Amino acid sequence: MLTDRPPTVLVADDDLDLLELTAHGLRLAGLEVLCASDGCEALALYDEHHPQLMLLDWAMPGLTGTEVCATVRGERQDRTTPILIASALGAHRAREALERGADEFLNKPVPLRVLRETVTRLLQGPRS
Amino acid sequence: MVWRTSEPDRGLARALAWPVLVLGVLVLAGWATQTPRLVTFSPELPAMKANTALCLVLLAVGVLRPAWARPAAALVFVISAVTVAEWVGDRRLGIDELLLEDFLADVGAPPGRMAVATAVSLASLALALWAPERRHWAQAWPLVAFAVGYVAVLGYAYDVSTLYAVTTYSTVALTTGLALMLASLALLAQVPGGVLSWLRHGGGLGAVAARRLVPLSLVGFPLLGGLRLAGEELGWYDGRFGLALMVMLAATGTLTLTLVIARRLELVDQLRQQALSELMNLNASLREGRDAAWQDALDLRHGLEEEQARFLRAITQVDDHVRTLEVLPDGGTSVVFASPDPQGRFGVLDPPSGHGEVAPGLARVREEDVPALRQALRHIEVGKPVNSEVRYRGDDGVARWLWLRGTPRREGGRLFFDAVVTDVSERHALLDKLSLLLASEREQRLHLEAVDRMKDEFLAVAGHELRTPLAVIRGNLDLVEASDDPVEWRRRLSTIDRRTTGLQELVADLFDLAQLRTGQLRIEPRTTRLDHAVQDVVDELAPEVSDAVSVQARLDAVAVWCDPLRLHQIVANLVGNAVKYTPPGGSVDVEVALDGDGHGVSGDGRGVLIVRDTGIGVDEADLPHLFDRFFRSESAQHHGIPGTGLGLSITHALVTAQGGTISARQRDGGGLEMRVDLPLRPAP
Repeated sequence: MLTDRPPTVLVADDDLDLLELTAHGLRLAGLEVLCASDGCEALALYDEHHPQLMLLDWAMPGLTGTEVCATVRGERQDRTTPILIASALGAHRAREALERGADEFLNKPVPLRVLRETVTRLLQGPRS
Repeated sequence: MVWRTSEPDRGLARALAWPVLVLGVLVLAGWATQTPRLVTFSPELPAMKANTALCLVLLAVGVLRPAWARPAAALVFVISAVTVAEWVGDRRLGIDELLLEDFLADVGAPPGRMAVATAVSLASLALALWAPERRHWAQAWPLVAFAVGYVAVLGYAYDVSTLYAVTTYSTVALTTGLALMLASLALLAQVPGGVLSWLRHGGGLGAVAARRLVPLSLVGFPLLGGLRLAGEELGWYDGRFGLALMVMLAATGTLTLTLVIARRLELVDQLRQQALSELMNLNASLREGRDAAWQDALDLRHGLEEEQARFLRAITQVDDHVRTLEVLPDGGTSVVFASPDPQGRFGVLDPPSGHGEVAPGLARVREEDVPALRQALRHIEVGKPVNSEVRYRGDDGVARWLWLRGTPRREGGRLFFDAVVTDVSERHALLDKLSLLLASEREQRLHLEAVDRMKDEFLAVAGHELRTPLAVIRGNLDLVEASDDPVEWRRRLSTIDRRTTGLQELVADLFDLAQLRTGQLRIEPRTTRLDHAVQDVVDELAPEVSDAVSVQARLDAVAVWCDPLRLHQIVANLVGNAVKYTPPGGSVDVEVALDGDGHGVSGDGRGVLIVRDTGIGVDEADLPHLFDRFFRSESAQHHGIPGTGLGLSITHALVTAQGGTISARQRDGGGLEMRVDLPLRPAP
């Protein structure tokens, strides 16, 4: 899905420093970035802009990343938009994230290089 | 049939009375119709008088109808007695032709008067008829009449007129003689236990012999006399020869008959003796056998008693109660054997016994064990083995665990139950202790597991909390390194500085916790203004609190006895938590007040800090764990709010260490209310 406009990526994290860092890194890679500081805001931005990819932190006040993911997959019936869930709670949460509809689980802290590669791969390839 | 000789031979009496009655009636009819043939029967013979006939009829009626016996006897006695008096006094008393005229009056004799012998006979018969139940009396009087009649009849037979004519003018008629014999025999027959009755029906040897001899004496001898007379009249021999011949015949006949009868009687007697001796032998041997059997039975009984005593001694030593029941057809039970229990082993000094008793009674069993006992009783009724344990309360009020087991046994169509009861209270006490130990061990294990899980959770959270700032620091450092813009450097270094401070605080928290756990935290209390501490915290937090959450403070001036550093930590933690857990649009309300009399000598006043929020709150079930180390409420995790699970634990420890208390409760409209009470002055 390559168009003239760069793909839009939605990033949600309640840690504003991390949010800024991630957004900065992804913008440097030439992506359009939307920022949300909690789950509710993320869902609102999704409904408004329909981004090509979502990168969600797990632990957020209001709605957690997995809850946003489940809502998009279930209520919004969007099974194609790639969703990445990142968490510093430990890799053992990966299974739950994938079960609730996420495409990938990233263990924080995520090196910027790894983040960029994963995002680019998910944007280019069709969902498996 | 065996004739009881005590009874009258009424049949014979009636059979004899009937001819007498008929004869009397015929004679009376003859006198009434003046028919000579009916009163004499033969022209040469004397006639039976009308009074005689009347008396005979009365006597016959008295025999045939016992109810009329006494009036008849009295009448007969009067008539005959008056007649005797006439003869004796030689005067007419007007009774001779009482009923009918004597149309055949004998020459010289008063007309109609019966012979004096007849009168005496009839009087004696009347006396006998009066009281037949008096055996000797009733048998003696008829003999007089019989003798008179017999003599008269013999007189007619041998043609000896002196035998029937007592005086010249007093002649007993032949019919009268025969009638007197019959009437006297009839009266003899109706005597209860009388000789005639015995003669006819007696089964004894005496009766048998008498039956043989009586006909000889009554008939044989007169017949012999008649033959002798006949021989003499034919001129075959003279009177002396005839007498000798008669005596010879009578003697030999009587002798022969007597000897035969005696011989037979003796044979019978011998047989009887023999039978008797055999019977005695038999009796003796029977007695011997009986004595021997009795002795055997006694020996057996003694042996059994000894065995039983030995068994009872043994069973008393055993710790069990042994009991044998018989199950009755109606389902009830009856105790056949119950071992003695002198020690009152089950708290029952006198074990129940008897019909309908069950061991032990339902009323004494603990309610929870009643179903088990009922089942056991059902098993007993249907003959199935029993094995159950119940708690049984003894007379001493002590409940004991009794182990009941029993096996059915069928014997001769009856159902028995052999049961053993054992006190197993000690075993149960041990079991109870063991299960208590197991329960506490399990509780401890669960607690340890919970602590372990909390530690895992803590590590995960701590890792998250440590990793996140580190990721920020690392990322910003990378960007600083890659950038040439001094403005961006400054901005990123500032972020790094802030996050480093946060990390320091977290590490300090962990350090505090470690110190609190080991009791090494230093606390230096002094009089500290609580309201100032709250104001400081609110000011510090202001830049971090988003505009969506409002923080209000209502602060009275309250000084508490506290370490200022720790007090700041307490307030910061509580207010920080409230802000952290309150979603946008909510509010945090902080209040400081004095509880009780702060200036009184009693010193029971407290400084109170209350922090209310409209946040997510905690589940009711989580409230008691709120101050546990590492604890994080379900709702906090659900909402993804990070935390170490240490804040409240540290706060709780700090408050408690300074003599204060801390509590939490759910607010009605949602959210949490935390309340801290702190002392105003040092504890005495």
